[in-house]
Order: sequence, then C-alpha cells, then structure tokens
Amino acid sequence: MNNKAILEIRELKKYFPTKRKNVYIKAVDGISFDIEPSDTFGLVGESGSGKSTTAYCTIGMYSISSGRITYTGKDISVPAKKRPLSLKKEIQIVFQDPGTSLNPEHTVGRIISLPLKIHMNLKGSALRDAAVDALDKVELPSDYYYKYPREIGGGEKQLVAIARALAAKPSLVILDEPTSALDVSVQAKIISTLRKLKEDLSLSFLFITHDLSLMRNIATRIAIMYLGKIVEVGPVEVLFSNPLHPYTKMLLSSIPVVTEAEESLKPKQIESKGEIPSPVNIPPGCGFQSRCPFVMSVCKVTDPPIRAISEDHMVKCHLFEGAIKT
Amino acid sequence: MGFAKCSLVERDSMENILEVKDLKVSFKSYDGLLKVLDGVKLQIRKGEKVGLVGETGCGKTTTLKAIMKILARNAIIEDGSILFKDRDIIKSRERELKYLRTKGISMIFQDPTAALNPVYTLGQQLDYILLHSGVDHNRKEAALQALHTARLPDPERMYETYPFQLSGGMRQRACIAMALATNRDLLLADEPTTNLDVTIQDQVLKLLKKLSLERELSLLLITHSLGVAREVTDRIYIMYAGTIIETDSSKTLFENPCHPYTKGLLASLPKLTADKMTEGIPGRIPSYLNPPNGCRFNNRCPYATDRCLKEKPRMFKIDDNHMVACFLFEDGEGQT
Amino acid sequence: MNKTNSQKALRRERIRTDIARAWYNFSRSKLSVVGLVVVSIIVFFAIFAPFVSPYPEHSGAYVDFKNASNPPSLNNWCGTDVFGRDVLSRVIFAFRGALTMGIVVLIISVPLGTAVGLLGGYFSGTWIETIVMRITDVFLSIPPLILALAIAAMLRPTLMNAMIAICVSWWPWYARLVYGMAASLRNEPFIKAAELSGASTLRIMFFEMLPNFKGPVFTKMTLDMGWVILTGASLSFVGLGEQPPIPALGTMVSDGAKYLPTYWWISIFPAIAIMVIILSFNLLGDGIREMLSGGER
Repeated sequence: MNNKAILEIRELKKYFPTKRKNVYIKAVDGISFDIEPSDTFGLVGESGSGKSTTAYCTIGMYSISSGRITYTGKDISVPAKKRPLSLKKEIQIVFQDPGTSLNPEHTVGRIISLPLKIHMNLKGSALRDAAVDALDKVELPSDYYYKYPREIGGGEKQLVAIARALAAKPSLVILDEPTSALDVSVQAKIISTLRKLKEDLSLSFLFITHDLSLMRNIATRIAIMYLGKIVEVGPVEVLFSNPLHPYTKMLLSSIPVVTEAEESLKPKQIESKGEIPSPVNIPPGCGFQSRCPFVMSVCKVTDPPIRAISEDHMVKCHLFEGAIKT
Repeated sequence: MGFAKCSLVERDSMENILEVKDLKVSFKSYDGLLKVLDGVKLQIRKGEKVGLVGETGCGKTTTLKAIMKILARNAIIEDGSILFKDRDIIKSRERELKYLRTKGISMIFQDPTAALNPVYTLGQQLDYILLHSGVDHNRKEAALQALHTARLPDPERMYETYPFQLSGGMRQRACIAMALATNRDLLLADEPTTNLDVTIQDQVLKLLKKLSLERELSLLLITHSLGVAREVTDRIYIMYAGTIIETDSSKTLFENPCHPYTKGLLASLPKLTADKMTEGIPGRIPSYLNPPNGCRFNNRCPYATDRCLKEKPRMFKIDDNHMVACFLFEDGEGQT
Repeated sequence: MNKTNSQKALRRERIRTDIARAWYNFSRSKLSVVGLVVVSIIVFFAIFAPFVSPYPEHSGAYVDFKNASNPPSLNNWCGTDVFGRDVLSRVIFAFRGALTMGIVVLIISVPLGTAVGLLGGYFSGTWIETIVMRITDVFLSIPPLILALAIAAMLRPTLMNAMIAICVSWWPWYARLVYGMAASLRNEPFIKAAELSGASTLRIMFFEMLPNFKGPVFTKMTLDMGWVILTGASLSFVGLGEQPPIPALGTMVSDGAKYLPTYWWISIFPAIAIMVIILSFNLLGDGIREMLSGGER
C-alpha cells in the first residue's frame, strides 16, 4: 500500500465477452501503477494497448473484471452508477474528441453549468456567475456562454470540456488524448492552459496519449502499454534517456521529428515492423513476440514478469533477466 | 538524383507534372462569399515528393479538391490555373479528363475505412479499377502484383478478403494498392496516416517513399504534421489561410524557418529534446468572409508593420530552394 | 453580479440569430413557403369559419330543396349538395374537425410515444428495453381502421372515439423513431460525460437526449398532421367519426359518391380539400426539416 498515492491500481483486468463462449477480449490484462499527488502520470500506447480502457475503468464507465482501484485509500472498484456523488466530483475526465463530448443542442453556458448544478447545488445567478468564472479560468471570453459548440473551434471546444471537468473542483483529472484531434498551435495553447490550471488548482493528471514527444514535455512518470499490459514504467527522464523495452525503442524510433537534434535522440537500431495481434487471439508467452527483433525461445512460452531495474524504473522483458524481481 | 539537391534553377529545366498557378477559390455561403484560396502557387516535378503542410482551415484540402476537380457545388474558381502535364485542368471538361482519372492522378484519403467499399473484396475492387483503366487481360495478376507492392502479406489471401477483416494499417495499404494498381504520374495523399498508430504510420510512410522512388512517382502529401512532411518529402510548402507562405527543401526548412508563422508553429511543437513548448500562436485565423487586406497573417504576426496591413507580400527568394512570402525578407535582407 | 445588460443583450442576439437562420433555411425552398402560406390559410379559415364562409348556417341542420344539387355558380362557388347546402361553406367548417383531430391526436400520441422511445433507448441492452419495445411492437401491429370499427362497435361512433382509436395506433411510430435515435445516442461521449457528472436518468433522457431529436420529431409531426387528417377522413368515410349534420370531409366525399359523375362537385371539392391539406402539410414539413437540420456547418 502506497500511503502517498492518490490513485492506486492493482492487477487491474478488464475482459470483454465475445459472442463465442469463453473467448474474451483481454483489453487490460493485469496492470498496476500508482499516481501521487501533483503527478502527471502518462499512459502511452497505440490502439489495442488498453490505455483508454484503463482510463474508463478508473472513472467508472466500465466495471472491472478483477483487480482493485483505490482512491485516497478507499476502494472504488465499482462502476460509476454505484459510486457516491462525492466521488464522482473528485475524479473527472476529458475525452478525445471535443466534437462529440459536448451536447450539440446545449449552449456552452449550459454545458458547464451541469456539474455545477449537480455537485454544488447552485441556482440562478450564482450558477451563471460560477459558469462564467469557469470560462474565465480557461481563458475563454464570457460571451461564449451563449455560443453553441458548432460555432466555436476545436481547441475552444476542448477548453470548454476542460472547464466542465474542472467546474466541480476535482482532484484527479483523466485526460484521454485531449489534443490528438487538434492542430499543433492549438495543442500548445491547451497544454499550457492545462499546466497553469494544474498548478493553480493542485491537480493530479492521468494523461493518455500516443504522442511520445508530447509526453516528454508534460509527464512526470510514464507507463508504456502494449496489448493490455504495462511493458515499461519509470520517470520521464529515465525512460527517454534509457529506454529498455524493445517496444519502447520501436515507438521512439517511429516518431516523425523536425530537428536534427531530435533525430539524434531516437534509438537507431529498431525499425517498426509487424502489427499488434488481435486481442482475442493472444499467443502464449510475451505479447510482443511477433514483432520483437530480439525475440528468444523463452519469449514464446513464458510471459515475462515485470522487474525493477532501478528504484523506480521497471520493465517487463526476458532480456533483463538479471534484474531484481518485484 | 535526389530533389533535395536540385535548386529551383535546375528544376526549371525538368519536367513539371503539376503546376498550380495563382489559384483563387471562393465558396458561396449563408453569410456571404468565403474567399478561401488567395493565389496558391506550387509545383511538383516528375518523381518529386512534395508536402503541403498547414493547420485546419488553411485550405489544403480545398486545393486538393480543386486539383481533382471535386470541389463542392458552391465553389467558384475565381482565377488561376492548374496545369497537369501542361494541360489546364480547370479549363478542361470532364470527358477530356479521362487520362487524368485513369492514368494521371490517383488519391488516397485520411480514413481508409470510408474509402473502401465494405461489400466487395479487395480483389473485386482492384479488378474494377483495372477494368476501368483499360486493362483487358491478366487483371488478377496485376491485382496481386499491386497487393504485393503495397506490402500486404499473402496477396492471394488478401485478394479474397473484405475490408472489415483488416486492421487500419492494412486498409490504408489496400488503398495504396488500389491507387497504384496502374502506373500513375502523381499520387495525392490527404493525411494518409493521421488515423494510424505511430508505428504503423512509420511503415506506411516508408512504403510511400519507396514506391515513389521505384516508380518515379510524384507525390503530393497533405498533412498537418511537420514531422511527417519532413520525413517523407523532398520539398515542403507551408500554407496559411489560403496562401502559400513559405517553401523550402524538407531537410533545411526546419533548421532555418523564416516566416513568423513557420517559426511560431515550430516553437509550439513538443520536442523529444524537451525544449520549451511555447503557448501557441496568439489570435485566430482570419475570417474568410472578410479577409484582411495585405498579408493574411497580419493580425497575429509579432513583426507586422503598416505595410503588412495594406499590401500582400509576394514570395521572396532566400536562396535557390527557399522562398518566403514576408516583407521581412524582401531583397534578401531582414531577420532570419 | 446579476445578469448584466450585456448578458441580456447577448441572449437577445442569440435568439435573433437563431430565428434569422431558421427562417433562411426554411425559406430556401419556395415550395415550403407555399406550404406555410396554405396551412396558415387553412388554420385561419378553420378558426374564423363563421366569418369566412359565405353561408355559415349551411354547416348545421339546413335544407333548401329549391337549391339542391346546383352546379358551381357565382352564388355557390362549389355548388350545393342534395340538401341545398353550400359545399364551400361546409368544406370550410369541416376544416375545424379535421384540424382538431390532427392536433388532439398528436398532442396525445407524440409525448406518449416520445417518452416510451426515450425509455427504450436509454435502457437499450437491458430488460426494460425489451419489455417497452415489445409492447410498442404489439401496438404497431394494430391497424387503425379495424381498431376504430371495433371501438365504434363497443361505444358510439363520435369524433372523440375516432380520435382515441387513431391515437392508440399512432403513438408507437414516435416510440420507434425516438427509440432508434436514443439508442444510437446512448453511447456518445457527451451523454457519458453527463452521466459521469452525476446527472440523473430523467435529466439525461429529457434534457440531454431529447433536444437532439427535435428535428426528426417536429418534421414527422408536421407531416403527420396530413396523414392523421386523411385517416380521420377514411374513418368518417365509413361513418365513424363526426356524425351528421356536422360536416366532415370524408363523410362529404362518401355522401356525394353515389351521385358521381353527374353531381360531381359534391364529392370532388371535399376530396380536393383533403388533397390540399395533406400536400400543404407535407411541404411545410419539408421546410421544417430543412430548418431544423439544414445549414449546420
């Protein structure tokens, strides 16, 4: 038990049933990590990695198949409808696509007022003032109160989504690829706004993205996910200066960069090949075996356990046999 | 000979596959006339890979649609010409464009799922394309060859596969196979890897590069990702609010960006080196309804002068490859 | 800080732009405007029937055998029927029953159907959906005419009973329509976001989902006015519904049918009236659909 942690995930599993009996989609297959207050914990992975599913389990959109989620020491491993209102207030989420996460028939003011009405019981002019306040905090002009989502740009819509998430004053905010659908310059504005808000309101973030360059700039700790498992986790500087897992290296070498300086930081020896296997038909052993340039015979038989290389850098790979087991 | 090494001067003597000259396109809307494209100029040589980079709303898709002649009904081409192999597409009628559609240009789109017909196998779709391109016999062989070129594993099996059985990366490769089933002069790619995972994106981009080299295929790649453009193309055009504002060879553009917009964009990018990310570029793109006189970037530019408010800068030469549409670089003087 | 004048001004501006845009989208098609005009005329005539019709007393129990079965003339633009009553006046008065039927049926079946559809759609995937939608299916399979005959056999044939019969068989169509839309909206991120904010089920159904359906529902309502009136005319054609001497379009058609083709005007003008009503509501409905869904960027 980590007494400092605001969120603890232990051996989380989420399996989705398929039409065939006893065949499941193992979206998340036993992951564990902690988020400490004021962390920006980054969850990195491609499609099929299970990162969004992890987020949705944490917020309660999905019920979990097994494992435990603990928030400030209290067990919260139940879906949202069974959670008390006070808990819903504490953990909030910002979705990837601002186009579909805002009700197209509601004005911005009404969208932001909803959590204020529910969690803080505000009415009338107090409600309106609080909503305008929330707009102010994300640096949107107050006359946006009467605008519809279709009348504002993608970045501004996402700011509205952020204002909505922060309206009820949560402590932990989950951000599921919040800038992936946005332009570069708009992304920069959103990220800087998020940074400011995190400091002003003492928030912790669970930040999900596939963009490693972005992670490098905002995360404090990062976990790399592949096929439902965490394959490497550690502080951001350590992970980028000394990436260990072959998949981490493959990810890093695939990033399209813009400067020579960045090119020199990319691992040269791993070229991306192959595709993620279907999550229904996972072969025994390590999930990465079909694409790994260093695959050994043991990889096809046994799934490696996650091992600590140093105090806070862990990796799940047979190449690092000699390390301490956790 | 790599195009990065050719200067513009040398290129003048090489064959132009596509040349867009002073293209002005507007759209009729409820609120009035949207003057989107304001004199777009670009060229693609035989075998050259060109990137058109810009953010949402800058007009890159409109440019693409103008080239393919698939603009919406409320579009008006006010001025300019699009020369494909020295023949003006705008002035040509649809039936004159038969060459264009069957052997000249082909296109791949951002969403491969939407671009593939879900009720036909890849083989059936390839067959259809080959038939309409005038291939009479040995279509199956040609189809299998196309699938193989696009690096799809087990082409015989792929021939009988439906799109829904494939992953996103495979679908995009299927689209590439279809686009290049017959030999084409120019491939237009509209954000082809935006919806793909980054490791798959890497594979697809390398494939495009390889095919372009092997077949002397010209490529026009539209993207909002500067990194992708840099990796794949020989030359990049940066587009803003309906105008080309800077162009240079891919290798040098981001080492020496000149236009304030390009610089602002580059500074906003998160980098692996963890250099500071700026807060983006203040302001918004101007309304196309009432575009500003002068330079369209003038409301957001930290260096804007009175002249920028009245006069629109033309492209000024920095060196043989590098041109910028900004008064700061008139006569080769000014800040770099 | 109360609602300042600038906020009030913004609100007014918002409403003004919404109305202007709605009208622009609606009036893009000239036919929709024609529909609107004709429907307005029909409604006006129905309300002010005693003042608009040339011979208002002919709408009740009136006989004038000297002037019976006169062809259309300057005195009687649509001729007279076998009792000497002015056909035009009776048609105008018949609008009242027709519109009343349309309004009452829709006022009952639309809210009922919508609520059922919302319930089925929100709880899609659960037993609630199954029960609700199967009940809807049962009602869908009942033909309105047969049901009306059955009700008339049990009770007296009156306008009220005809309306009840039509309501019973009309609401399921709205349930189906709303159910389909609600079920597909169920998993949209903005609905999930509302749930995760702690909104109650009722709030989500009526305040988050429902506003998204106003396009299809209002369009269907407008088109349905015509169809309900036609169904009502079919019922009164066979003698159910409004009883004589109160004029009803269907009754007038059926009464005059035996005199075709000699005294053609007795049936034809009421029939034309039915056609005009349905056509104009259809055109209006098209315009409403454009207004509520068209013009979104």
